[in-house]
This record gives sequence, structure tokens and C-alpha cells, in this order.
Amino acid sequence: MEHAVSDEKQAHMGLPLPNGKLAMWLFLVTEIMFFTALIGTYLLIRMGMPTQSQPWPGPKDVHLVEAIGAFNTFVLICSSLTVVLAHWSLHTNDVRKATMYMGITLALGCVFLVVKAFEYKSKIDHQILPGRVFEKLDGPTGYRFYRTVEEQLKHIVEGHAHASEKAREACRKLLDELPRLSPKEINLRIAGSKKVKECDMPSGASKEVTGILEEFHDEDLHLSHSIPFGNMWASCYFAMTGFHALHVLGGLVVFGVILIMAWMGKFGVQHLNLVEYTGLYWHFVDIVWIFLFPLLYLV
Amino acid sequence: MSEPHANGDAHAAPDFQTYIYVFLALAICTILSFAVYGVLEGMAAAGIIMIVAVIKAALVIWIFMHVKFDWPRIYFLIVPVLILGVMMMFVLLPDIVIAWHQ
Repeated sequence: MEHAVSDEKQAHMGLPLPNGKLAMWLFLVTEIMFFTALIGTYLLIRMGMPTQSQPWPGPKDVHLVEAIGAFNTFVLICSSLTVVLAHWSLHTNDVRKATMYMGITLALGCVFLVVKAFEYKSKIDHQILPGRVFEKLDGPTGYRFYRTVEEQLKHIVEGHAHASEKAREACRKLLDELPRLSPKEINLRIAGSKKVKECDMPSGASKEVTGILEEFHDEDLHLSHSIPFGNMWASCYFAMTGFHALHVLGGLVVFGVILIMAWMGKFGVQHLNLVEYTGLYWHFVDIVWIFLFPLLYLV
Repeated sequence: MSEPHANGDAHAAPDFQTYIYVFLALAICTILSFAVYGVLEGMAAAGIIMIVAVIKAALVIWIFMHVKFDWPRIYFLIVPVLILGVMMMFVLLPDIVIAWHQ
């Protein structure tokens, strides 16, 4: 009788899942809720507030380059592939290859962050930051806009900015005319009628005014102009991409630790679970970007 | 590092070829959404682009995250969160979207 009992397959308490994988999935579901809250709030604000005359800013309005977003998407997709290949290599006892794939993943993650840093710099250069974007140009905001543009024009005219001679001449002309123009007219002269939204068009203004920014396409020509919902856009953009970038950084730290372990000769097939759980986290980071890219750059 | 598990293979995973196919599908989907953005406009473009994004996410979850193999063991974690996530947006929807336009 005793012999028959010991032959039976032993049943274990709990889930048929390693503790580490269960813990990682529990962590990931909390992360799903976190990013759902961020993305959901963004969608609701975007759907709820803009109108026909005051639309939500498009990528061009806020200096977002769609191709750069697509490139970063591709980089993260590549890194997702290399992390699963690292797991697969370890599964087939090839520690050297697994280490190589981990190194490539780390490098791709760094590329993503460097591209993001350049994108952030562009936002800082163009003052597309929460609370720094000019929206409606009526009342005190109009006066603040006038003073800001006046300072920027003086900066360019005095040769402190790397603007072309023709662009500088146009800025000098606008600076001379500045006291006679209303904030909305100044905005139109800077951005041009293609970029200025209906709510910011001065009454009786021509529909075909070429703005200084449009005419010279000079990246160093930093002149403020009105962007309806620009502050809200910047808050959403920095909150979503900032938290995502922090998650990327977290993943890179773990990849770095694994590579240090490999360098010290302490990384091997016994770390299959570690690589799998790190991969799960990294894929989640990739999925978040899969949604952020179209929502911020394309839709 | 390895942990015991009661039954099922906790390390079940697709093969090398499957990973490459999924990667190619993800790359093609990215190009597709970018092409749609260049050709179409408005709600049609937005709809297609978001559907492509959902397909991409599903591929990553199903194959790269091994949910294809782990689903019977982790569905109880994922399903409630997805329901709660969708519910949260629908609960806020009347207050922000509808009330704003009235």
C-alpha cells in the first residue's frame, strides 16, 4: 500500500507557475493599469477639449518628426527580437550567443534613449514645455507673448542666434513694425496662415500670409507662436514618454547587470529564468511604445 | 535560480524561425501604419493605424512574451486588468467628452 502511494505523482500547492514569473506578471499588470491611466487620460483630454477652430496640435505644430518616431519603434522592435533570441540561445545552452544578444539589446535601448534625448532637446529649444506655450493671445497672455517675441527678435537681430542673413533681415523688419501690430497679427507674421488656427486669426487678415518660420525653415530660428492646447499637449507628451523612458532606463540597468555578470564569468544557463523575466518586462516596455507611437505621432 | 513547478513546461517557447517571422510581421506593420498615415486622413487613417497597433501588441504578447504557452496559467491575472482598464476609460467618457461639448 505504501509503495503504491509513493509512485503517484506528487501534487504541489499553488499555481503551476514559477514564483518569479508569477511575481513578474503581477508587476506587469500593475504597470498595465499605470499606463492605461496615462494613455486613457490623454485620449479623453484629446477627444474632449478640442474644437474645429481650436484643434489638438498636430505633429508639425509641436516639432515632432514622424520618421524619428517610426525609427524608434523599429529600434524597440529589434530589441524585443534580440531579447527573445538571448532567451532562446540560453535555452539551447549557448551562453556566448545569449550574452551577445543581451549586449545588442542594451545598445538598442541606448539608441532609443539618445533619439528621445534629441527629441526632448528640440522641445526645449522651441519652448514646447508645460506652461511655456502661448495658447490664446487675448488679454495678459497677448502682452506676455508680445514681450517674449520682442526679446527673441532682438536676440536674433543682434546676431546671438545662428540665423541666416535673410532671416535676420525679416526679423529686423518685424521688430520695427512690432509696436503697430496686435499679438494675433504678430503670431500670423511668425507662423503664417497655414499654421495659425482659426481662433488665432486676426479679423480681416489675409488667408495667404507666409510666416517667417515657414519662409526660412531655419532650425535655429526660435520664435514663439501660438499653439492651441500646446501646454496640455506638452504635459501629456512629457508624462507619457517620460515615464516610458524611465522604464527603458530601468530595463537597461538590468541588462547592464547581466552583462557585468557575464563579464565576470558568472552568467550561465542557470539564469534562464532571469533572462525570461527581464524579457517579459522589456516586451511590455515595447508594447507601451507600440501604442504611444501612433497616438502621439500619427493619429 | 531555477524554481520548481508543479506541472507544465514553464520554459515552453517558440523556435528561432517563429521569432524571425514575428519580427518581420512587426516591421511590416510599422511600415504599413506609416504608409497609411501618408496616404489616408481622418478617422479612417486613425482606425487602421490603431488596429495595426493592436495587432503588433498582440503578436508581441502572444509570441515574444510566451502567453501562447502560459495563457491557461496567467489568464486570471490579465483578463481582470484589461476589463478594468477599458472600464476606467468608459466611466470617464461621459464626464469629460460628452459634458464638454454640451
